[in-house]
Amino acid sequence: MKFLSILRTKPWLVPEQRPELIQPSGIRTIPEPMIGLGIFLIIAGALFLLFIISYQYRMDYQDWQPAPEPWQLWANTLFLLMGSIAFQISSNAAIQNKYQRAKKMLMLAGILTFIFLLGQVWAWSVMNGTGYSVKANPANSFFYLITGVHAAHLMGGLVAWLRALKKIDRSSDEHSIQLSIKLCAMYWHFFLVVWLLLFYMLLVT
Amino acid sequence: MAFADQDDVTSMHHPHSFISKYIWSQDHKVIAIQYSLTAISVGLVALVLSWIMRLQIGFPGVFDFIDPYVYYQSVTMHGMIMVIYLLTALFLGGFGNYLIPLQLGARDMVFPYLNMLSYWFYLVSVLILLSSYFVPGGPTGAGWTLYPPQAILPGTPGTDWGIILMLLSLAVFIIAFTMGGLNYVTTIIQARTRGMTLMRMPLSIWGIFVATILGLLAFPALFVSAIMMAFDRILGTSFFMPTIISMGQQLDYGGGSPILFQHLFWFFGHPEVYIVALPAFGLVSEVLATHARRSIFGYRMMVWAIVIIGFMSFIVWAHHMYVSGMNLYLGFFFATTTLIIAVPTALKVYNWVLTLWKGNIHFTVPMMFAIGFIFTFMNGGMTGLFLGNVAVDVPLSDTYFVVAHFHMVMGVSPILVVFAALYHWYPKITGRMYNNTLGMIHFWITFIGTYLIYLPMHYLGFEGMPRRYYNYDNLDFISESAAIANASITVTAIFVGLCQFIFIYNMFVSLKKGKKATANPWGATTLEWQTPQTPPAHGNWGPELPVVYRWPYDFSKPGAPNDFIPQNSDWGLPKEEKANPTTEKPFKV
Repeated sequence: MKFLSILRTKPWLVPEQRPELIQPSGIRTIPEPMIGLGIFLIIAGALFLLFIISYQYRMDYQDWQPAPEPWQLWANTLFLLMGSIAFQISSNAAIQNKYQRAKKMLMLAGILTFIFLLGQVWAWSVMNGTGYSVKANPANSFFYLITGVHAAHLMGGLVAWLRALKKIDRSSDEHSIQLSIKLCAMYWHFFLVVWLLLFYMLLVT
Repeated sequence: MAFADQDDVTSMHHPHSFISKYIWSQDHKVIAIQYSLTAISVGLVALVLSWIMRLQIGFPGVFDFIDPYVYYQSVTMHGMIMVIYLLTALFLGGFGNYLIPLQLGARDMVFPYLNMLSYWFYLVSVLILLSSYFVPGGPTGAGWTLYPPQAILPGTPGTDWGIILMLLSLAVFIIAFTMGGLNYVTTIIQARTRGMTLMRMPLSIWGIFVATILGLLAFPALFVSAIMMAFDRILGTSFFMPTIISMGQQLDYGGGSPILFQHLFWFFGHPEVYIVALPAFGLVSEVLATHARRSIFGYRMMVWAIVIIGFMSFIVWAHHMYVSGMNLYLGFFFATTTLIIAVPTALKVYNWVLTLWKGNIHFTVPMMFAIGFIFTFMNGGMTGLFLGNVAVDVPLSDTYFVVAHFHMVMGVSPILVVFAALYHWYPKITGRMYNNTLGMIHFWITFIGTYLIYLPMHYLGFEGMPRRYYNYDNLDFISESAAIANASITVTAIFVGLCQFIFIYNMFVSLKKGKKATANPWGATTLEWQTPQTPPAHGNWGPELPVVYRWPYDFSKPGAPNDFIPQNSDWGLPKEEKANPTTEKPFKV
């Protein structure tokens, strides 16, 4: 609603008693990287939404044969969930200036993510080995495609994770360290939610 | 944290060597110039490609080297380059990069490193695209819409490597655009200088802002369709590929939906029109107001129109698919939304005309191009009203009427704005003036040439001349006069295309020989004209950032010392209300 009231202002009027208009502009309390990440997550959300819509659209065609979900996906979900929690604990610890704990939890979060990614590869090989190849049916094609794109985003996230890890060791800028870990946590929470949605979709279809 | 009012010059990346200053530059102005030069260069390639297809249409059979493969490859590459690699990149990568920090009173984009990466990814995407000329089978000839199944089936040019490189190039471009777009939006949200409220932003920034949001939300649809088509082509999946018999043989594909691709493509493709048009609307508003010495008519409505057009551009996409077959009610819905979007668009045109009304119009080169834009955009927009109706679109869809429509409305119109904007900001970017006479010659040839090229195409369309055909021999329903019109269009197109080199000559020669430009040669109000140096130095401003006291269109105010009042001028304000810095609350994680 604030945006709508902004759109109603009349900028051509000569300022008379409006010193407030010489206030700093922008959203003052949110750092730029957080805004940037927020926008990126919206874009990533749009991307996965389009995949989901395409999935639903393609499902209605006659040749669609649902694929079974290998049990590894359940375990992987757990690892990703734990990874996300570890990021949050790390972020909280950093804010309380407990950097040793923050670093440990950050390491753990990264390792859990690696396990998730390896688990996904395992799930792929199980699928492929049991005759559910990428080409065999559109349901399989979507499985590989969607899990692959999701995994690619997490791999990208691991670059930011590495940088945050380096920062804890080398930087003395507390604010910057806290922000880096918080952004990682945001990113992981988001892709956990995306994964839960995708996994739910795979399960129910 | 670099708030706009925390003027932390020392933290900026000051370039020290030639390479860090001009090659791996993080300065938004250098990146803007890199983007623009690359876009214009690749645009020239697309111009030559248009000559190839025009030579075939105008003089069929005369040029042996233009076989059907070359023809379709030229059509495809021309379309894709012009829409994405020239117009999108130039408006947002070029003008967006140059104007956002300068017009908002910032020192740079908020993520300069990401901004640099954005350009290099863009360059790589262009190189990948052009490299398809050097692989077996050449570039794809699937048409710029890349519709499956024909885009990846044998018989279409470039199904070996061309289509793969095209999809890869698009994916890289989208990554580049996302990096740039994140920067533009975050900078506009966060890095405006003090006093630069959203409703004091120049319309150019509003256009770029909304277009970038459109791009960030629409390009994922192209990304998704590109990945899925790459899967179909490389891994043999059937996302889009139906059961098909090709050259007597049943292919492995089966059950896929080409219509799904069309939905995804046009969910990107239609907003893409406005990704190009909205920045053009914004830039032309600046040029018109400045050179007519009149405040823009209906600023608020102009902003609303930009926002409404941006929103609506997401709910009209299927009007590109009337001939693909669709539910009648769906067709009615998309026809209705398409016609509704004409309302805010027409409002903008009225406001431009009313801005000129009783203005003190200076017929400078940028102004000529801006007025030329209004004419051309109106013509192109009118034929859009025809095509928005299902019943009219179906018979016209596959004819030259459509070619004429979209070239007028989203080809030539934005290009006229590009010229208006380049002529307008050239003195600021280079510190030199250009040759006015050459500019005028360039304008008249381009403007009149446009109509000589595209007006006859409307008639060809009415006559039923189909588009996309390589050869029109033995088509009895096409009259002889159509051949004459086609030959005339071809000759004009080549002449007008060649005359664009007048512009390039003028720009390059003026770099050295042009008269030195003053800081604000047009008497403009926006912040980029108030920089301490021309061209603006690294960091844009002197020791302190400008403070904004007013909106950007205070022209011809009674009692003012000049016929323009810059945004950072405190003329007319009571003294106690001048700069009043406030303390900042630090961010808590």
